[in-house]
Amino acid sequence: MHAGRFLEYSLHTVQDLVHHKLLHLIEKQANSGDRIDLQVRCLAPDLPKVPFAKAFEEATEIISFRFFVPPFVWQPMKFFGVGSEQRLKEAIRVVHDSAEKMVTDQRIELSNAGSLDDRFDLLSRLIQIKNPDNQGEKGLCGIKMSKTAIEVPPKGGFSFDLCRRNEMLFKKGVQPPSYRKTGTTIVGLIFQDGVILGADTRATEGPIVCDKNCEKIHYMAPNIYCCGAGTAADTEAVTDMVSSQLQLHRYHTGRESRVVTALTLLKSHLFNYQGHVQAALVLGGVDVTGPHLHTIYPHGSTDTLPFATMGSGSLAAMAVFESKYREGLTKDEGINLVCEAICSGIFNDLGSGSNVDVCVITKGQKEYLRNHKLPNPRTYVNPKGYSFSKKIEVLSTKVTPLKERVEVIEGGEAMEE
Amino acid sequence: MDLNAAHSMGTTIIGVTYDGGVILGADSRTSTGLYVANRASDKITQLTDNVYVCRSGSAADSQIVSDYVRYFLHQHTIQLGQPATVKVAANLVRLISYNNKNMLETGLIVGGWDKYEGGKIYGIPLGGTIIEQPFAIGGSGSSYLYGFFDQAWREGMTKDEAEQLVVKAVSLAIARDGASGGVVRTVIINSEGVTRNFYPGDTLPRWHEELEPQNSLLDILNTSSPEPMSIQ
Repeated sequence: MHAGRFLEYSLHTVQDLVHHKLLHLIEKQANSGDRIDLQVRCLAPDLPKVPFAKAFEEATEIISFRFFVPPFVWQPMKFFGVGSEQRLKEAIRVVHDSAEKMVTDQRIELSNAGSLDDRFDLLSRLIQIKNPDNQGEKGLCGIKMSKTAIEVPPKGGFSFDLCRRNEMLFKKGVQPPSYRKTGTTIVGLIFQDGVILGADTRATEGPIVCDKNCEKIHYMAPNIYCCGAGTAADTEAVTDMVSSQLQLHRYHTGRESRVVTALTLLKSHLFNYQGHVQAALVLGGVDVTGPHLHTIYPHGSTDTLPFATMGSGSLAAMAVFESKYREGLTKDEGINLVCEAICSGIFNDLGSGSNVDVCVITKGQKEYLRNHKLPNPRTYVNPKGYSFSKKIEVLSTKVTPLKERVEVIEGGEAMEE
Repeated sequence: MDLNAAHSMGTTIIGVTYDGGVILGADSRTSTGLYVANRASDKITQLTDNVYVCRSGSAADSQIVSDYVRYFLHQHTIQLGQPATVKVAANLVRLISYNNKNMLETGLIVGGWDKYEGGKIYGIPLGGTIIEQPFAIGGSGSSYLYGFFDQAWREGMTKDEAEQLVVKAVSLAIARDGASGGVVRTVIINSEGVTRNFYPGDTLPRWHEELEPQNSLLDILNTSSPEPMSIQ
């Protein structure tokens, strides 16, 4: 409705606060040499002690204390009016009184000034609408303090508010900090005895390669592995989380994990976050029902395929697969095809590079071939080696092997508190 | 190109009743922006033994909706003690689509056979309306089929006539809609059970200006290489 004016108003308020208050305060503190604690709600030590604000803060703190102790502790305290609950009652009374006073003051101002049109706050607007009578008083008090915020705990569920804020900031031109992505080539294919997964090893942070040899093939279960493309943090976190859930599930059921279980857990998690968890995965494994290969997209949709590619280099790798894949490949043919597809991604896509990792999963066995191919060796190595500049002298060198200082005891007693 | 864009199935889906049952048909293309992420996807998903659903729109949303409906229908079947009717299945899909209309973007066609009503088709487009129809079309490719169905569909077709109609319709849509392609899958549901059929892209009828399917030029790699040309 008044979104534009609201934004302007917020901007002005923030500017005001920063320029006129925060900067002065920090300058003052710098001059006095005191240390200030940024965690404390109120920075300035010499501000007037407003009883309303103090009571409000105290009430909020005591309410949050309620969450740390079980109900049978704070409820009797409330009933008998002892301890922190007594202070809470007092604090709430102060808050109520201050709010009532504020409303009455506004009314007096209204009757004096005639209208409150130039005041933007909610209270002025509501006073103008409502007829001045005592029932309205209580209602306004309620609204003024958002009483429910103190008494009732917040509702559950993921709140997408900050996502909307980020989008709004992005539209205004605020660049978000660049996070580490695995602009990647990941592939998987099914061969006659099982599944082969492949991945490159480059991790990028914007235009910079931040890790030349990272691991993109993540462990999910002894018979299931998962390659991840997208935001590195998201892929690692989501695969670790589902891997733990699968482990617990194995303990509960006593059986080997199935690929569709991992698939459903990943898919539901990603769908719940509506694509904000940017993880695109190639999940492969062999279980009692046979070999399986699935792709999972950040929004939560899945595909089941005999060969699949994901990541920024997926087009280059898919071109190789589409021309050379056939059913019933042997293990060596499969590994070669996977290497070719990854190399195609490495050499033709800027977001992929360095080495090729391969993982072969068959019934009852897995082979994780880390750095199976190194097509990008560091060819120029300075023969002179690295030497410190002449101004830096090494005065003495002392090497202490720590093994001698650590005693390893077999068995021993269990730790106790 | 944003390869992490939401997966959508710009699609052609069709559901047709015939004398004795229903036939569901769909193409097989799933796209992420302009890239075809899966050229052989299966958009006709099973809900129960006798009810299937054709999915279109957002791939994630339609998969989740059909998973939930399958779960509820399974419980319903256990409680009821007999197979669920197509009407119940369609209404469950409608309830989920309607109650979450702010967050979902998926159009579905539910079709099946039960012993009370016989073969039935229910269309559930975006927003969550439910409408029982003798035939239903959906997806981006369906825009090209409204006129075709007005002219070609009639009551009381036989099974083969109806299947030929569905395959012809999907191939027409594939010819004109960039977001549809791949193969044509059909599912026939009647009192005898369920039959799945598969028509590869190169066996489909071609229309007017379409080209012959080319043999892959990559086949040349497998044949022996010819004598090198000599400069003479």
